[in-house]
Amino acid sequence: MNVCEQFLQNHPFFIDLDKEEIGLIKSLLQEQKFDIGETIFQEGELSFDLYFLVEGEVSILKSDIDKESQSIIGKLQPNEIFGEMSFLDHAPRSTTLQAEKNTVVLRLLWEDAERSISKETLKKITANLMLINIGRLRNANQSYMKQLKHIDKVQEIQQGLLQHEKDIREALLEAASMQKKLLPPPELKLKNIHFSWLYEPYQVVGGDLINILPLNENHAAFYIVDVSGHDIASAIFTASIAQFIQQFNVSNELIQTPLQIINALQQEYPFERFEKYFTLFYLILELDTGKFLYSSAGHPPAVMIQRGHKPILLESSDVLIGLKEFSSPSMGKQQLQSGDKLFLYTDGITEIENTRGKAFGPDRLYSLLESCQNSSVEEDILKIKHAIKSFSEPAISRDDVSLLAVEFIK
Amino acid sequence: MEISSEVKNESLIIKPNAQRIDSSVSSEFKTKVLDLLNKPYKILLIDFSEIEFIDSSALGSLISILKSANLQNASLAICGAKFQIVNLFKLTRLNKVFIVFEDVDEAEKFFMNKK
Repeated sequence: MNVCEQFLQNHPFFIDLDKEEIGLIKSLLQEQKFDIGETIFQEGELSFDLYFLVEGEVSILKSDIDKESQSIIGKLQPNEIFGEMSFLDHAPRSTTLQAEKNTVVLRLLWEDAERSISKETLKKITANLMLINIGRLRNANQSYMKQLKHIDKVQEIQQGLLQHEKDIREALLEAASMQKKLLPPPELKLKNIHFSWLYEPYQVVGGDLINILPLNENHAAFYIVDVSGHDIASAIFTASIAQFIQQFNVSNELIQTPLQIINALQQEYPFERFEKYFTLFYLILELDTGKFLYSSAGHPPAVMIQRGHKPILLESSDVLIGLKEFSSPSMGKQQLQSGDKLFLYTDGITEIENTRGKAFGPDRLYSLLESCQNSSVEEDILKIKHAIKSFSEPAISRDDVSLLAVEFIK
Repeated sequence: MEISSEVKNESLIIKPNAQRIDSSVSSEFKTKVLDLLNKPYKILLIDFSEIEFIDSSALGSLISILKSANLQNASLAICGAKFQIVNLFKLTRLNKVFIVFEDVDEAEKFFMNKK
């Protein structure tokens, strides 16, 4: 008994067939060998032969929707029949069959079957093939159900992730609303002072801080901070700085000068502490007279606007906060006349770029601020906001953008 | 971010091959330079001639690098920085902290004479 005969014993394909019929079909089968990787038939091909897998392994491949790649959708082991669908319905091959190992098959050519096998026998064969196919469909259904369960699981995980992201987002928004409370409250009333500000964090929270601290009846501190980076850590850092400056002022009976503030901050926040630094502009204004003292630690110059004059730049006197070993702060003095304005800002404004990569730049800002005369500080803020937007759109800022406008009116 | 490096005598010369160092690459820049600083060099030269823009996070990285260099008693100098970057150093008063040279050659001459 050769390999083929052994193989064909008791195959479900032959159920209900008598010896004669089986003998005929056996005589029609042709043995064929395929090497690893060789294609047996191709998806879309018009061929209707039927195959019995004797030895080896065959994979079933189906093209993806884009037709550019194929996926293996199943594998066949010895004793299985394949190619039966086109054998039955004469439609093009729905899959590609490829030898996964060195493979031996028995092939029943459609032409031979049609010519030599009687209609009666073909009917029986058809019925057997259908039974075999039904069995396969059952298996396919089961694995489909398994996949569905798998999809459910994936969806569940996805839901969890979405919920997680939502939670983080909510926490961030909460942090943002807390950070907003660190900003000067609009209802804050100071003698002879009008102020307004712009605060646009790059992300939900930011590394910038603007603040106004009333120190006594006649004095108030105004300051702006830019922490390196603009992530959540930077935002937490701004809260710490605001708290420190507040405490430092409260715990000392005398008004602390900008110089003392900078020295204290250099001591409190060495770079190594958070691996972060910040720049700061700090001034104390005498509300009766408009006189003020200021110090800056690596911060872009504040701009003083006097009617009919060129802007005055209040330049930095000390290195940024975090490098106390290089620190040697000093203090400047100026006086505002009625109608004069001060603008404190962070470099997010000057560094904002348009789509061609050109920065807004300090000069553009200075001439914009110079034009902020005979207008209210609220109008100035709107004007600046508009100017930045029309310069940079559709590009967006990659940094926090903050500006404090202060007007002295007596 | 690609960084090329070269060892000459006791100096390590590092060149970031990028136009920008901003928050998207600054921590990578820092880590890569600190990794290169594993040997005790006397002088660390950072060649900034390709760089057009750095932001505050890049300054933070430079400060980290400076602190590490100081711990090893190495001098840090920045070479070939463009006008706008030198301006940024002036603005933040970091020109008091970093030595800034026209280019790598000038820095090498300076440290040679110092010996």
